[in-house]
Amino acid sequence: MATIKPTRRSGARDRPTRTRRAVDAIDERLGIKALDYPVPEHANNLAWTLGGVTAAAFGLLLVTGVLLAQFYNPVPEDANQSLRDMVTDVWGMGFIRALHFWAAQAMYVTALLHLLRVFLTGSYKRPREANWLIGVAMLGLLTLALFTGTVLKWDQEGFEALEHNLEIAQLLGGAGIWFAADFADRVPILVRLYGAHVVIIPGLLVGLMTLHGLLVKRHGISPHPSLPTDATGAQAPAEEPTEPFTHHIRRLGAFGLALTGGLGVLAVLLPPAIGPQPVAGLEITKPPWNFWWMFTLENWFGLSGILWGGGALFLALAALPFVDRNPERLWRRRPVAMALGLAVLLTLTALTILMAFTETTQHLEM
Amino acid sequence: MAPRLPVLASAILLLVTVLSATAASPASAHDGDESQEGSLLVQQALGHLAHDPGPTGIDLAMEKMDDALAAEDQHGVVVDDVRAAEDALREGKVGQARHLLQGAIVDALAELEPATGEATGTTVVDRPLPGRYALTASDGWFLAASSVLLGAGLALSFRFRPRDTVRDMRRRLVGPRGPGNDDARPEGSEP
Repeated sequence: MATIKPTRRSGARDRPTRTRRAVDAIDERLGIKALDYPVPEHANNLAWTLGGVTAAAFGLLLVTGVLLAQFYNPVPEDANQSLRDMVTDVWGMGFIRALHFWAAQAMYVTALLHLLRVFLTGSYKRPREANWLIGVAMLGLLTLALFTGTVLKWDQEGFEALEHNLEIAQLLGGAGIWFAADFADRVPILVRLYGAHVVIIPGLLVGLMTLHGLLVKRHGISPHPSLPTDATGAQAPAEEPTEPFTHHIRRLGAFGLALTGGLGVLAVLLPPAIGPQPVAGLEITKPPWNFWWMFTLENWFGLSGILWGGGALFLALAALPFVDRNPERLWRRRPVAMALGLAVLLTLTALTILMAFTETTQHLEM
Repeated sequence: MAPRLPVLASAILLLVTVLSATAASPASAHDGDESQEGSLLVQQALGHLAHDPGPTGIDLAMEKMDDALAAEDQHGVVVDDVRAAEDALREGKVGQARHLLQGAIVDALAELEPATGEATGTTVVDRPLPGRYALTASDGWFLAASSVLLGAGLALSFRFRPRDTVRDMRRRLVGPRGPGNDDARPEGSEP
């Protein structure tokens, strides 16, 4: 049978496409092809991209936060009203505020899922202990961002959150001095918390996220526990298929798009309310669900329960890589770690659910 | 025996968790010292009514109004308006009561210094602003745009999925027995 060969016009050459030429031009100036390094293929599934999804939620928070800052007045006399005016009188700001709220919830949930994945796959083990600690620090900052964000509403719920914070600061003595209301006697504490929420915390998060990402690059993505490793036990084997890191970014972009869309739907259908302006001396609201487990401890043990409970959890998280010396990564071969992790998770879940059925009780000294 | 121990440990820990959750009783509430400032007590009554205009909120507001009328410091408080507000609440007229209470402390609030420290700076206590009213045309556009982004994101994340699943790789690299069998592990690799 005769074979048909493709014909060529005489003198024709293989010319790079327009896209290729554009990429080459950008690479010449910005070195973007350095991002094409190989990454083990297991890094591209959703469970191993949760850190990036958390960063995508953070990006949304930054963008919506900048917009909110144009219309929010952090002065106590006007904070709550400026928020009301913003969502009722400025086109689109109700959606933006709701998107900011839901992006904060998403960041919290994806950060916890990411932590859970890292725990389950033993990815905190040597040589990645420092990166785990950076992650725990970021979780702490995220908790502070949620707290300061709820105070900024300057409604009754936000004010009671602040009051709890001030009394815990008193328990801490000298260590709590920044949180004391009279640390700066001419500046309302609301204004200082606003500065923390829009500058200090995001700034620290950006710095730690950068370090976190650089350490992942330095150490390589941790091996999947159900796949073989190299001879060191800390890296994926050479036999595992790889994809360029740009494919990881590409898939992360798709997840980020889906996240933005999903949060946008929630923002339209379930926007957050704004409570009444705060009145000192009342304790009649419940905190946001993210803090319910702490407040069940408060109901049982008083205000110090929040301090000891929160402190114990973060101490346990920080100590994990140094206490868990089992070299295994597969969950089936780590019974003690799995049992303890499950116990902590169940305890936090139980404490959270209990708060839903608990009446608000006076704890603050009014 | 060894694999059963972790299961037993988990069960014990779970039992302890559940028993702790159900057995512990709330710490005795600390009532705190009641303010003797009449204007603040009136504001607290407003706070209760704004938070809960139902029977519970009304009862709590009435308590605060009684405390305000008995307070040592009633500077800037129009006592008659507070009494009229109590009467209105007894008749279930929450809106009228709120209006009277707000008017009763206008003079006191006018003397407030700019808020510093943990001062609330509150003058007027509004009702909560609900998050959701009826959907507007703008909401429709935001919903449509968000749905498009969601759909596009899901489609692209499926399009860009990895060539091989972890299961495929495990079968290829470890063999059909899986990671639990050392015999199936390639030579030189760690578990």
